Amino acid sequence: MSPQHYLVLAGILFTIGVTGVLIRKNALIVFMSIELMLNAVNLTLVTFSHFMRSPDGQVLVFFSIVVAAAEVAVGLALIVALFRLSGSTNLDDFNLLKW
Amino acid sequence: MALDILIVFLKAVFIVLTVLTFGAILTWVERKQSAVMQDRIGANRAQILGLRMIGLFHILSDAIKMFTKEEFTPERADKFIHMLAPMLSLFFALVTFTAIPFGNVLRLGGKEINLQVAGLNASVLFVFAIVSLGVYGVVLGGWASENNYSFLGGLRASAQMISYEVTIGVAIIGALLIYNTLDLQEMVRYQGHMYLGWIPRWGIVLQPLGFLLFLVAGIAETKRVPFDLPEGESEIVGYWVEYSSMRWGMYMFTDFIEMVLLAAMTTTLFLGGWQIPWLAADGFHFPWGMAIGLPHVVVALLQVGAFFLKVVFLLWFQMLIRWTLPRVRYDQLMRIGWRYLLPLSLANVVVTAAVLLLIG
Amino acid sequence: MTAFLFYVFAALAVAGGLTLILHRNPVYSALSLIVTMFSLAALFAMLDAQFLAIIQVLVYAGAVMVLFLFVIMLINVRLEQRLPQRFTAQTAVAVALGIILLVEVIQIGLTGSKMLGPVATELSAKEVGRVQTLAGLLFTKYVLPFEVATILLLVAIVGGIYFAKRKLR
Repeated sequence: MSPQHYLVLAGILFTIGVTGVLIRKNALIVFMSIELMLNAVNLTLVTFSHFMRSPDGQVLVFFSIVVAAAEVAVGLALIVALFRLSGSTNLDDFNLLKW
Repeated sequence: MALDILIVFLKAVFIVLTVLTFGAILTWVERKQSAVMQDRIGANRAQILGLRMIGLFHILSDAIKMFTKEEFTPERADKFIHMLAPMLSLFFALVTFTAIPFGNVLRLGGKEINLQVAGLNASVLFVFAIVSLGVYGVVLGGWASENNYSFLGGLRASAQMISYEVTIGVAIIGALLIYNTLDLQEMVRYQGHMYLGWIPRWGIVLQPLGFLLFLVAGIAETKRVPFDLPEGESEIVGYWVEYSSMRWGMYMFTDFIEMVLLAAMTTTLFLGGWQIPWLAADGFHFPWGMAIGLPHVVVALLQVGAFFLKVVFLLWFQMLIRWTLPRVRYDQLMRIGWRYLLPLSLANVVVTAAVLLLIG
Repeated sequence: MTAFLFYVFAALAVAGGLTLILHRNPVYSALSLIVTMFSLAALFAMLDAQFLAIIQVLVYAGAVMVLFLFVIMLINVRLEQRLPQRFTAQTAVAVALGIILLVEVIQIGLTGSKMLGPVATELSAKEVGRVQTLAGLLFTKYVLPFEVATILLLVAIVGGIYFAKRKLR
């Protein structure tokens, strides 16, 4: 398989993630779409790392996975806190700063 | 190429069939061993033409019973996930066995067959990755039943599994530091040497505390007595209350498969895997000078036999524990996991690393 | 064989992604994201990144998505099903922007291999993704980011506990 195949696949997945962030109202789905975007970027990094025979790209993916894990732990705690405050996970309901 | 794929396929079929057989026999052992321990006669009614075979036919009759019972799905349940969850449980339990080496390299007709289905570079991590997925079957099963009690049971079970996974992961780090590899086959090879000619260099000798912690946390992970709070068939409402017939059977079977998995992993990590003391590639070499030459195929088969013998021993041992100890309470369970086992396993890592640093 | 496997896993990944953003029930969304992550792990393995493939399953499928599933099951599932899914102007604009972005990234992807630098090391493809290679780099060249990552994880633990334990008014 050529690198193009993997890169195009990563592009498609990234676009799906972006579209998910834009069209969905549920904070959890939006959060999962962001995870999908992170995964798509990881795929490009691994692709380049494989075809350039350079392990540095894979080390970067390792760090990106670590950061994603930390991000999810805090992010989900935030969503739970928001849910307890407003009783909803709909992003449109979080409008305390608007007037 | 086609031959290679065929060999991998045959290895996979062999290990899956073996493990399923172990699981099936364990359903009988569970009843028979308890009967022996409690001075009863135990399962002995099933018979074919008067032949009883010490109750072994109960396996068959249980299977027929479970397949022919009504498959009940609660009306408001999520039908698809309700069906999927037990399958996931069983599937993930079986997949782990692809990484476990059950023998050394077998040379047949000029072909070298590594007796391990998938020779991965980081097979320990692979096993833990798949084991950590087992929680899906539990939590999805509890949720999809649309029953608050089974949902709570599912949460309880997954909290227990996640807590003890941490201890399992940390408990083996000491052993990994010594073996210097993440490849299970390499670990078993490392354990082939002898100290002073008679102490095998097994994980249990090098890491006695790690072995103990791994075994205890592993038993908690398989959700069996004394850590069977998620299930406790007769007293506690667990995640599988809304399951019946073979779907319930799959959950039950997963437990037995996980017992086999724990035995196989303990064997590989701490009991020398397929190693037999004094058995080298060309036969036995005893320290007192005696040597018995053996052909290659015999040695390979002996080693496979040794692996399964150790697994059977550990299964017997787990059954012994299961019918000896009383169940712990939930707060005790969490305290054991987080306050005792985890700090102990961390201390084990620190001490092992310090010793390795000192002796270079 | 490789091409066949690639297309199978690519199709699974895209199908999982689409189900994630289109399904009404968040539990199914989470499950489809797990499918996508598994397919990506398989693709990593096909790219000889064995270690990352395992880490992908261990961390994403085994830990991150379990957390997501817990939160969804505990707080959300009934609410979402009652929400009317309206096709608003925002949706139309979002889809249009998505299509434009898709065209762009595919264009970049197709020309991206021209940006591929020269083969950097004398490692073979199998050796690049091995644990030993990555561990060697992690503990030498990238030791500072590695330590920072451990602190980040500690901060995440503390933050998570703080949010979970805090009494809300």
